Amino acid sequence: MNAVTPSVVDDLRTVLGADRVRTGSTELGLYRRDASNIEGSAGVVCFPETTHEVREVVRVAGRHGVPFVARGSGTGLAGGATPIGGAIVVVLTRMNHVLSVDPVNRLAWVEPGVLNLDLSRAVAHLGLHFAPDPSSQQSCSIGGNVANNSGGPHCLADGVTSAHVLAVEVVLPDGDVVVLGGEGGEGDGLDLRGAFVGSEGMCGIATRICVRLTQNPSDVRTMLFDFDTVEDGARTVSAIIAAGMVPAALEMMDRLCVQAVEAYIHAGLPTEAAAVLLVEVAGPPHGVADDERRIVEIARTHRCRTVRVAQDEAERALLWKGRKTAFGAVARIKPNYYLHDTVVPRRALPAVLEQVYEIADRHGILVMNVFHAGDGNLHPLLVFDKREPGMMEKVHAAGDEIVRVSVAAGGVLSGEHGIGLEKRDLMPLMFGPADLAAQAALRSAFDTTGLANPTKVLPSPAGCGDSHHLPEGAWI
Amino acid sequence: MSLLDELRARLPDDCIQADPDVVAAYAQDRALFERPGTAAVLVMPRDTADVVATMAAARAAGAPVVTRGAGTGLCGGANAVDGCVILSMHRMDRVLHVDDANRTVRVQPGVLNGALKRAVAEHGLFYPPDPASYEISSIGGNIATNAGGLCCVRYGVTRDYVMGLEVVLASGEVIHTGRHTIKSTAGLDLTGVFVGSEGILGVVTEATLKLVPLPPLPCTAVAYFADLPAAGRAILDIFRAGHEPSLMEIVDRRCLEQVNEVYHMDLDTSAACLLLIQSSGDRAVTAIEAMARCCLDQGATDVLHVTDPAEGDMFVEVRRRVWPAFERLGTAMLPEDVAVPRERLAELLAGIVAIGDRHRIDLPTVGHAGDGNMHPVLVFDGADPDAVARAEAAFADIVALALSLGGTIAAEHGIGTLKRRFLADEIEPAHLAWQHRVKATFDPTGMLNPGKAI
Repeated sequence: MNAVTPSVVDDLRTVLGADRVRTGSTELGLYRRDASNIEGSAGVVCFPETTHEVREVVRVAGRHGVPFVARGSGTGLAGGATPIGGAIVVVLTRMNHVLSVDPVNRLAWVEPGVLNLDLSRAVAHLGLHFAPDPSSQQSCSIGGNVANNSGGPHCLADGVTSAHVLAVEVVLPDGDVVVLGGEGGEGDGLDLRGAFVGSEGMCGIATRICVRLTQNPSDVRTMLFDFDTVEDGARTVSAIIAAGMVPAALEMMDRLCVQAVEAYIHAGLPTEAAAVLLVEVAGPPHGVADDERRIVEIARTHRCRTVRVAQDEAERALLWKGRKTAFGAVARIKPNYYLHDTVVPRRALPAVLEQVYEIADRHGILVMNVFHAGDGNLHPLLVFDKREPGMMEKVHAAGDEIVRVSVAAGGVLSGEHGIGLEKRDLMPLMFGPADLAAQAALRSAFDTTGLANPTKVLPSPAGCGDSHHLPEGAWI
Repeated sequence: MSLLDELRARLPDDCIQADPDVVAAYAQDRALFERPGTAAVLVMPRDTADVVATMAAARAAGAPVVTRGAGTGLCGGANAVDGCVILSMHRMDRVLHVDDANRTVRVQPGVLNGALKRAVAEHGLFYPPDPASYEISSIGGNIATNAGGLCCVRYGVTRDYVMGLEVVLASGEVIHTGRHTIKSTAGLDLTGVFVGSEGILGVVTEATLKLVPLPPLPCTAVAYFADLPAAGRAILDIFRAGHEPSLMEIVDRRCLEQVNEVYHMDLDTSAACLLLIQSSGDRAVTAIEAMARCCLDQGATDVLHVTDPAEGDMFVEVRRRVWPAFERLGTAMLPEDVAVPRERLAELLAGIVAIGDRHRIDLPTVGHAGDGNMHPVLVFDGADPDAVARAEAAFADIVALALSLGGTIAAEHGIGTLKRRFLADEIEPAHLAWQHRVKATFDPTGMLNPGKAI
């Protein structure tokens, strides 16, 4: 692969004009990383505004043999949008139009740079929303959601991004433009839409996305339960699901996390409890009332200490604020944190959580847990001060162990943040050589040039030397 | 060595069947116009290792492999090609593990959809995809064709329920795709590529499927319409009003006539169509009333709604009896499978009636109104060459009509060989070339189900 030369920049400027092709040190510095702390190096940053321009940029990259990396809002946590080796960074934030909304078939065509929350706001007057709601939804883009197959608290009931993407117009790495999937949800022939969603920029650049819109629920009820043991909380989660209910959200915070949050927002959270469970049910008023009654009963059976039901929208917002600002609140304890993202089968939650505490304890690191309990999606947060000597090594080792125990319990490496560079070299924990070879083969079928976001996600047999650095100040 | 010797060297005799009559019985599915090739041998694997052994034998002998579930396919996807191994998965029919906390089930591909539904119902769980053939079609076949069904309007299609797969590739390698947890963003999602790939990329030997809680019993409404556009408007109104019916089926006049003729169900055969709607959940009673009102507002001539599930099921039975009612005519039947956006549904139905008239062919239509997926059924005398020619012409016209209305030509039955020639009409050439590239990636010699799907 080649580096960016002046003639590459010239060719890009011919396509986009001088002001949308940047090589200044400020721009190169800004775009050499995403929200992880992995630093790459950008050769040139460009800002296309149409499918045609994206295609021309990709063709310039192909002609010169220079790698390129697509980037949305840069909120990714695994280094997926970090340019490696002076790549061309293709920034899609200017392609931020909602192109059409079809309320009858409940779908919309959007450009990739549209922000997640902006889309929901744009269709709110129709009583609709875009279901995936990562905690970064104010700032993350739909294109980035597609690249990472993003989740969020409400994906328990509604499914993750791939369930809400009907079609994608893609500029393939060789410059062809294809539409994968269709408005009806099912294109013909092989379904490559599903493979594209979550492919972290390795399979081309999405330039238009057809998303499914979801009807807003007519009623919502938000409840907070607290428990003397994490295990009781986790068993409550399993019991709710086993009882045949699918709450809109099922979120859990442990004691340390609740203490940090309470000190920050003063919402009257039970700081002496071992675990707090935030449960939201949504739907028609009658059903919601019935679910609430059953869920309270289940929580009581599992020795819940207190039950708090949000009495109005303000209280509901306060409870959610506690959940969504958990990471900011951490700063009150230690200056740095490292956020993990693994998924375990729901049944294995109590056992894996116990192991997480044991691992952190053994390494002398504080760990806070705040996570999507309903999905079994853990977000252990290692809290530390990197100025303490030897601390980074301990954090690194503990993080690695947490990932390993999650996978050993039948879980997966990442629930919603992606693999990127951060977990690339851990992929063999989950996939055998034949599985990885099949994924690599599919990648090559999409990308015959090898220029689309190289070195990400799939470990190269010889390339295990890159250590995964520690993200700090990350989103969840 | 010959193909048979290669197989015998690797598999016990009771897995291999070379009797030409038996082999021929397994060599075609239910696609009427599609003539199967002549298969060389039938293999009935007991486990994944047998499938791997079959691949090795086929590779060594240079023979193609055609995988078959229960043979209920309607597009020739499981039809033999000359000299092939028919790999029939019917012995691998076990439900391996139901996990009620994680709401998943692991199954072998040969398990029938209906058997799976019953096995998970014992755990209070439900596997939603329900092609009309669900009692006799296999999960492996459902995965290969990404099968849909009556509840898809509410619950989605097979693809939405496949979480992970074990697949034997042409190379004999066994790969695992997907996950057993609710979400995962690790690596490329190969699962989606294999679902709906009609046996051209590999052989599914195990699947992990998502389950949902058993839904509460539904309320049902039926509405007769004097003209098709009124029914189309009622359907749009229902979705615009935000309702989520768990079932929405349409039965046209010709179906009503024939069902009445055979079963004497006292149906109004002067109506242009009958719309069947179900709603389940806590709000079912009010929802079904509101949907019935949408029908009345749009000019339905007769509307009835019931809360008794048994009574409701009697109405749905009208829909289920369409196929057997026409089978009584003792002639050839070919179901078509097209889908259009909801707002074009009335146009599609009217166009189909016109096509039937133009080609002088009996052309009743039933379909999943909620997702715009219609099944016009060509009913004709298969022994009369002129009738066959007219049926084929009508078939092509329906495909062209669906495409002109912005629709798709294979909503849930797949492409197989039946619709392969139409595929170029729907997919751009660059995309199609690239689909071939993906196929070649997994099956470089083209030994798996050659000539199918793309």
